[in-house]
Amino acid sequence: MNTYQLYLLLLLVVMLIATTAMTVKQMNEIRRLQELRKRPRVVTVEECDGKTTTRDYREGDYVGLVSGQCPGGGPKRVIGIYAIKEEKKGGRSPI
Amino acid sequence: MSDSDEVTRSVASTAAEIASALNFIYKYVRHVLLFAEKTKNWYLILQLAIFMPQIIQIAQMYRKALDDFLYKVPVGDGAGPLVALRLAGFGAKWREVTEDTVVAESEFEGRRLLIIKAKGPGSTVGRPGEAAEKVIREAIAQGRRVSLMVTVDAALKLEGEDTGDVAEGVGAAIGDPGPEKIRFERVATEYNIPLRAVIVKMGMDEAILAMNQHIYKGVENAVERVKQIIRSESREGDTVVIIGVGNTVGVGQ
Repeated sequence: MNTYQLYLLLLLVVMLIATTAMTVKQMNEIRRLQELRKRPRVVTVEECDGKTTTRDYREGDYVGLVSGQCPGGGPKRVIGIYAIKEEKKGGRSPI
Repeated sequence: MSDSDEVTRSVASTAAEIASALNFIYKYVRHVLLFAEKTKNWYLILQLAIFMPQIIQIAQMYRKALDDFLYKVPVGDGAGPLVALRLAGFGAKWREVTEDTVVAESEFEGRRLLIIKAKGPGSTVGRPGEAAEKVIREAIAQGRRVSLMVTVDAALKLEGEDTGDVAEGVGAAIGDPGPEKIRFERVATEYNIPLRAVIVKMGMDEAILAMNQHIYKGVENAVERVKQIIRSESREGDTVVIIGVGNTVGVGQ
C-alpha cells in the first residue's frame, strides 16, 4: 500500500465516522420530536357520594363540572384534572 | 369567532399570545444571526450557538403549552384558582365582582370566607387585585372585621427543589409586579389587614403545561396550609379573604 492509498483509506474512515455520527444525531433529533408530539395521559378525578374515581379526560371536562348523577341521587362532579407525568429513569445527580 | 362561546374565545386569545411569543423568539434569533453576519461579528454567532439549546427548549415548551391550552385542561398556573375552588366548596354561589373575576362566600370554623378567583373555565387570570379591593371595601362597609388576607399562587422553583412543594410567607403571592399586586398591598395597608402568601412550587415549563400529579398533590397540601393559617391567624366571627391567583383554564366554579 503506497502513501496515496493510505491517505485515501484514512479519508474514507473519517467520512464514515462523520456520516455515522450525523445519522445518529439526526435519529436522536427525530426521536426527540416524536416524544414532543406525544401527549401525556390526562385523567379526570370525579367525586360521587364522598368517593373519588378517575377516568380518562374527555373534551369538555373542567373542574367543577357536574358530569352525571350518583346512585344516591347527588351530583357526580369533576373535582380535578391532571396529567400523568412519566418519570425519567435518569442517572444520579453528580452532586 | 363571533358565534363561539366565552371559553373558546378566551382560549383562542391565549393561543394567540403563545403564537406571538413563538414569533418573537423566531424574530430575535433571526435578528442576532443577520446582525452578526452583517457586522461580521462571529462572536455573536458563537454566542447564539451556545444559547440555541435553551432557546429551542423555551420554544418547544411554548409549542407544547399551545396544545394544552387548546385542549382546555388546567395548567400548573391554575393551582391558585383550584385551591380557591376547593376552599369555597363545589356548591358555592359565585358572583362576578369585576371583569373575569368571581367571588364566593363560605364558612370555615366560624369564620366567614370571601374567596376570589378568575372566572373559569376559560383561559384568564382575571383582576384579583381589583376584586380583592372591592370585596374588602364592601365587607368593611357592612361592618365586618376583615382580619386576614391570604393569596395563593404558583411560583417558580429553583433546580433541586421538588414540584408541588408548598411554602408560605408574608406579602402578596402574585407574579404580576404591576397594578394587581399594588392593589393587594394598598388595601391591606389601608385597613391594616395582615397579608399572607401560600405558593405551590413548579418549574417554568410546568406552570404553562397541563397540571401534573405533583402539582395536583401540592394543591391539596396548599388547601390544608391555608386552613391552618386561617385557624391560627383569625378568630371566630372574623372575615377572611382568600385569593387564588393564576390562570383558571379548565377550572370552573
